[in-house]
Amino acid sequence: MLLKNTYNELLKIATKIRSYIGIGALTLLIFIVLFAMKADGKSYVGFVTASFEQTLSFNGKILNGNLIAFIIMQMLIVHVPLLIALVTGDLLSGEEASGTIRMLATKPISRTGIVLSKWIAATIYTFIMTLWLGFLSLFVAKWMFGTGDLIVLNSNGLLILPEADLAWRFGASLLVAFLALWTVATLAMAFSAFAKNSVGPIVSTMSVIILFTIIGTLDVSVFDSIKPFMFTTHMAAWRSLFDDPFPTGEIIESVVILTAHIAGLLLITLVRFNKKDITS
Amino acid sequence: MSLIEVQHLQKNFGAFQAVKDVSFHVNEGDVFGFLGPNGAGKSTTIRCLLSLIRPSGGTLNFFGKSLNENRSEVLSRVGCIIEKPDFYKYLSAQRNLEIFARICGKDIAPRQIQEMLDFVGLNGREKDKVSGFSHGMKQRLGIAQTLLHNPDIVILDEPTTGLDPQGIIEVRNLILRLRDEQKKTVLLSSHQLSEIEIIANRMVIINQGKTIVEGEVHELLEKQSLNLEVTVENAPKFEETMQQHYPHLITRLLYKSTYHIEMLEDVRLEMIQRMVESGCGLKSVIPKRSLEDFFIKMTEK
Amino acid sequence: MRIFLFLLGLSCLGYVNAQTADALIQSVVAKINTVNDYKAELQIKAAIPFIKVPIADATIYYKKTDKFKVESKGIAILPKQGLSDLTGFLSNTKSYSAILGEDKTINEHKTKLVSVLPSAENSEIILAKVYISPTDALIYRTVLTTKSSGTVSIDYEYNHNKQYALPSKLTFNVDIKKFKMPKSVASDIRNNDKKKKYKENEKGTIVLVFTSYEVNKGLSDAIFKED
Repeated sequence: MLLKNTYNELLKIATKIRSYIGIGALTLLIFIVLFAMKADGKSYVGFVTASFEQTLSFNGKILNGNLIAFIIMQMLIVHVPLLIALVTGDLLSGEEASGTIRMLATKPISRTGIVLSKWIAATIYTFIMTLWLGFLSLFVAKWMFGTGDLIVLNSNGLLILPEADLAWRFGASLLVAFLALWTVATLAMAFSAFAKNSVGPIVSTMSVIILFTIIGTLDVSVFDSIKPFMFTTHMAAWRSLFDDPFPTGEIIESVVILTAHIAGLLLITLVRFNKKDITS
Repeated sequence: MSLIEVQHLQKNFGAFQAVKDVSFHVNEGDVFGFLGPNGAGKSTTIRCLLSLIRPSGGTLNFFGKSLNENRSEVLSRVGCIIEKPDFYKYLSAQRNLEIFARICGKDIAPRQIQEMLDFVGLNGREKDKVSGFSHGMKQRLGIAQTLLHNPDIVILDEPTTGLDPQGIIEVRNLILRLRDEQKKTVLLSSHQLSEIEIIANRMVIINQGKTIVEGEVHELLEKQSLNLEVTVENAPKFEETMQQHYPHLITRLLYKSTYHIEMLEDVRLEMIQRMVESGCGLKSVIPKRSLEDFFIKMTEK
Repeated sequence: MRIFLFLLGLSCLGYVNAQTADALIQSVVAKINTVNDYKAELQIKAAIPFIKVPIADATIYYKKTDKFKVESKGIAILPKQGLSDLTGFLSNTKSYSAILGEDKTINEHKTKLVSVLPSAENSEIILAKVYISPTDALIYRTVLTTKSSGTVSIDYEYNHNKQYALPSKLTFNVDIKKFKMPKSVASDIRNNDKKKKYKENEKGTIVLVFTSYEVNKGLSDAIFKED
C-alpha cells in the first residue's frame, strides 16, 4: 500500500505544474550564470586571484567547468530550498485545501502510510532537483567551459584541487547538499501538516531558513551555543567536501545533525497528522 | 446482522460538544436514512465513522469489529462521499479513479474502472480533466470512486447538496440502482428529507448531538397523526364549521384560504361531508402524512 | 708538488680578481646564448601561505630571444619575477651597471656577488643581486628586489646541462602579501575555527624541478601562440 501510494504521490507531483516551476527556475538560473560566466568569467577569476597577482602568476585554465559548477552550487544553494518548499510545502496542505484529503484519509491506507508515502515522494523530488542541479552545473558547464583543476576561494585563502580529485568530491558534495535540501523538504512538509493552504508552509519554511541564517551570521555570543545545532549552519556543509585536509569530523557532524533534523521533523509530521481531525 | 453499530458516540472540539450521545445500527441491506437539522452533529458522526475524526467517547463497530482496531480492513469494505467529492482537478477522471483504485485495498483492473465510468454515465469523458467537470459530473465521478472496489457499505453524506434539480434526480436514481441492482447497504444523510422517505427503509433522527428516534421508516410514519391540507373558498365559514364540530383538532392557516388540520382521529369522511354541507366552498383536500412533518415535530421537541 | 698547487691557486685567484663584474655576467650570458631553444618537463612544488596547491606537472618551452611558455595540465603557480625575465635583462649590458661584491659559498659553490642596478627609471627590478660562480660561470643565487612584488630570492641547482646554464632545480622564495577576502565571496562554514594569525607579509617557496631537457632541437613559433 505504501509503495502504491508513493507511486500515486509521484504521479501527482509529476502532473502538477508547480513541480516544474522549480526545475524551470533552476534551469533558467543556471543558464544565466553560465551565460554570465561565458561573457565575463575572466574578470570573476581576476577577482579571485587579484590578491596574489603581483607576486605569482597562475598558469593553466582557471575558468573551467569545475569552477563554474562550484560557483553555481554556491550561488544556488540559497535559492533551491524555496523551489523545494514550493512543492513539499503543498503535499499535505494542498490536499486539505482542495478537499482531496477526505478522499485519501477514508481509504484503507493508514495516516502514517499517507505521510510516509508523501515524504518518500518529496525525497525523490528533492533528489531529482539535486541531480538536475548537479547535472546542469557540472556536465553543461564542463561541456561549455572544459575541465581542469578547481580553484576554491575560502576566507583564509585559495585551495587548488587537482582535477582527478574532483569527481568524488562533487558527487559527495551533491549528496551532502541533498541532505540539506531534504531537511528543508521535510521541514516544509511538517509545516504542511499544520496548515490548510500551501502558502503558509512555504512562507514559514523560508522564514525559518532566513531567521536561522541571520542568527548564524550574527557574531553574538548569546547564540553561540545553539548555532552548531541549527540546520542552516550545516546547509553549506557540502562545501567542506572541497576542503584540504578533508574535515571528516565536521562532515560527519553535519550529516548527523541534518539526519537528526529530518528524523525529528518527520516524527512531528507523523504525530500531528495522525492526531489531526479532518474537518475540511 | 448489524453492519454498522454506533453506541454512545461523543465528540468534543475543545469545550464544544458536537456529538453528545449518538447511537444507531445499520443492518445488512438497509438503505439507512441519517437525519438531523443543520448543526445536529451528522457530519461529525459520519466523519467519526470514516475515521476522519477521532471520537472522544463511545464505540464504533463495523461488521462486528471495532473500527479503531480494524481500520484498514473496515475501510477496504466501505465506500463513501463526504459532502462533495473533491478530486485532483489537474488529472483526468480516469487518472483520479486509478489513483484511488491503487489504495482501495483491492486489485482493480483497468476494465473495472471503465465499467464504473460507464455505470455513472461518464463514458466518453474519462480522459477529460476534472477541472472542466460540472458539480453533477463530479458527484457522479464521486459515486464511481465510491463503488470502484465493490464495497459492502456505501456512506453518502449529503450527496445532493449544491446540485440542480436534474443533478438531484440523477444522483437519486443512482442510489436507487445501488439499492435495487447492487444490493448495497447504504447510509445516507441528506437534507432532502423527501428523498429519505422515498429511498430509505430505516432511519435515525439526531438533534443537538443526540439520537432522537431510530426505527423503520414506515413504522415511524404510521405512528404519527394523519393530516389534511384543505383549501376552501369561504374561509370564515370554514373556520366557523371547524370551531363548531371539531374544536379539539389543531387547525393552522397556511396561506390565504388553505389550512393544515392535524387529525388526532380519523374523521376524514365525516369532516368532508360537513364541509360540503356547510357551503364553505371546498376546493381541494390533500392528505399529508410525511417524514417532513415528522422530522419537524421530532426536532422541535 | 705542494708548491705547484699553491702557485696554481694563486694564479687562479689572480685571474678571478682581475675579472670585472661585467665580465662575470658576460661569462654567464655567453653560456645562456648558446641556447637557441629548449623544452623541458617541469615539476612545480609550491608552499605558499594562503594557498594550498598540489604538485603540478608542466612543460616549459623557450626560444630565443624572449619566447617563453609554460604549459600545464592543471593550475600551476609560478613566480611572477625571475623565471623568464632575468636572462633577458642580464643579456642587455647597456641597461644596467654592475658592481662586484663579496664572496659567498652557496651549496658548496664559491660565488661572487654581482649587484646589478638598472639604469632605466621605470624598470620593475630595482636591484638584482646575482651570485655567480667564476669557476663554472653559473648563477647559484639571485636576489631580486622589485617594485611591486617585494623581494624574490632564487637558488639554482645544476645537473646535466651546465654547459647551457640551464638549471635542474630552482627554489624561489617570494614575499606574499596578506590575503584579504571579502566575506560575501567566501562562504565556507566554520571559517572562524580555521582562522590563523598571519603576519602582514609571509614568505612562500616555489620549487621548480626541470627534467628531460631538449636543447636546441628546434621549436616551432606556433608553440608560443596564445590559445
